[in-house]
Amino acid sequence: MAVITATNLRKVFRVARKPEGGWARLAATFRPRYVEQEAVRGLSLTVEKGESLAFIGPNGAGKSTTIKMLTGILHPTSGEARVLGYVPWLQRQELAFRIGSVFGQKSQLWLHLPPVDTFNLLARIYELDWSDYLRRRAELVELFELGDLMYTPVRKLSLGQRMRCEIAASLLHRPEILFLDEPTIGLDPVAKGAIRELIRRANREEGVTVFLTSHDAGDIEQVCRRVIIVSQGQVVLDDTVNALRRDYLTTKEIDLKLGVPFAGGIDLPGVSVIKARGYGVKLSVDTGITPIDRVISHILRQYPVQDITIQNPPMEAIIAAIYRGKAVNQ
Amino acid sequence: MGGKYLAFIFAYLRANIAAALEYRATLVTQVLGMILNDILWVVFWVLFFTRFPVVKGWTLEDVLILWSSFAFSAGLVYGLFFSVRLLPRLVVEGQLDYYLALPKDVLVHLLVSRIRPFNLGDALFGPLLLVTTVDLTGSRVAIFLATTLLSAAVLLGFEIIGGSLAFFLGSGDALHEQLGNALLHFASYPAGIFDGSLKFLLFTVIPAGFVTWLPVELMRSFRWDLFLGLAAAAAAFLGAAVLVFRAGLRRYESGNLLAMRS
Repeated sequence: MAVITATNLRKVFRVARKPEGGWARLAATFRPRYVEQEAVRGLSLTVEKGESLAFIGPNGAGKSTTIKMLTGILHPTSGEARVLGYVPWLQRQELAFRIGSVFGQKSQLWLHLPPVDTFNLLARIYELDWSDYLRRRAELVELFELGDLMYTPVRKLSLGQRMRCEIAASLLHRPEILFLDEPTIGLDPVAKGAIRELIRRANREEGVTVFLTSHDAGDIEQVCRRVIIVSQGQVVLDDTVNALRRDYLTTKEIDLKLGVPFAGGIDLPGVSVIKARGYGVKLSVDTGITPIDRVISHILRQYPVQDITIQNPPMEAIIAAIYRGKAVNQ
Repeated sequence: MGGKYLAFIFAYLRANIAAALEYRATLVTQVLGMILNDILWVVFWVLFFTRFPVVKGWTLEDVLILWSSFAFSAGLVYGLFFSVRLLPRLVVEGQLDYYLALPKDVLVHLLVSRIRPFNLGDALFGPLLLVTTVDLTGSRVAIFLATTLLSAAVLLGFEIIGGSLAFFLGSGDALHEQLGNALLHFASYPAGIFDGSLKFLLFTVIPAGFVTWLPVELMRSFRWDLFLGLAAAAAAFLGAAVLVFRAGLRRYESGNLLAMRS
């Protein structure tokens, strides 16, 4: 059963263009010139109940604007959408009772109060029965291991602890769909892992449909089963995460800090040096040709290693690869 | 439905008080500062009317009623609905997303979400000043309460309209502040000193006439036509405020600013 459908969704923002130069800018104060910026260009998608969908793309791709239209925050310029049967921008309040949202860059927790106070407030906002609410809160405190955090002012929590509280808060009213906009932004790898695990659990154990936007390829691989990539307001790929992994996430980047200056000698198929300077070296590894563990053991045989970081290529590189793939296929 | 909205409003009240009590010393200093400021104004007017007992028909008692009424209504509006002062900033910085993502009417939610306790000091000062300085009867107290609540409604409507201009102008912080300050200044002086077209302006664009002068007039001698006029103005300003805010909300463009609720 489809819980989200969007057809030809479009959003155009009118932006004042500021000319260069003092006089021109002064004149523009009285006669401003506007340009139209099309943030979302005829986007269509369908999401089934219980899916975990990564909705990703580079900066300015239209991800947040799409989420805001699907949650009723923004009115589209044209197009149609239904979320749980509601037209989001016309039936915003009814819809809000049944969905949850977490905006990584905007907190719903009160900075000077402990999370428990915001939870109590949200219970009133969502009109929850008080005894049901207390049971649900206890469940989430246990699941998210919030314990003492619930009684510590939010300003004293780490970003990772705060995000755990944010996500628990968004699940208080048992939403059927959870929209997450950059939930792991700014977190360290350990906190990212914890947040991903919690979102995965909400999806698999409680059947919550997850609609997640992120810049982080790790969020896609570890949380979602389906991925939609948008670029310049349009869908450029809609596939399973397995297919994405097979086709586009075969490259990893290894950052090394060596104990001695780098002098080459890492001659493995599928491995290339992106950058090398003194003790530091950055490698690109095509894991489809040489597995990452073989590369690492090869390096360790050659050099003393002081530090090592393995990461996915940036989202921009994945999008570029998708475009290249499409161009080749066409 | 009404009960659930009340529980929601009280939950905000509790959260706001708890947040204010996190910094008790600041809170006490601000409340005392606000009351001292009010007292200084009253002292000024007492000195003034000792020298000039009647100014265009206004006496010291009229000014004391004006200050009582204005402190009470402005204290209620800015104390209980402080977010209305922040409206242009919330619009421009895309911070209405928080309210739009939750299942409540955006305007009601916005209004009740932020309380500024030290403005409530004004709301306390008003009735205290009235009780201690003015001869009161039961009917005068009832008139004071009714007219002050109506003038608070006019002030609230005016503030919502001023703040909502940001939806249309793309900014509006400075304009909203100037309009608000103009109303506060005109409302805190006796009506008799303004005439003609300025007086017309003060019953329309900057409704200081409804916020303080009519309550004073009605306390002097009650007239149903004036009282109903004040009630109609309150309904008109609040009604227009809801319409302007809703029209503006359709133009809202959100934003991506990093923000924490405080």
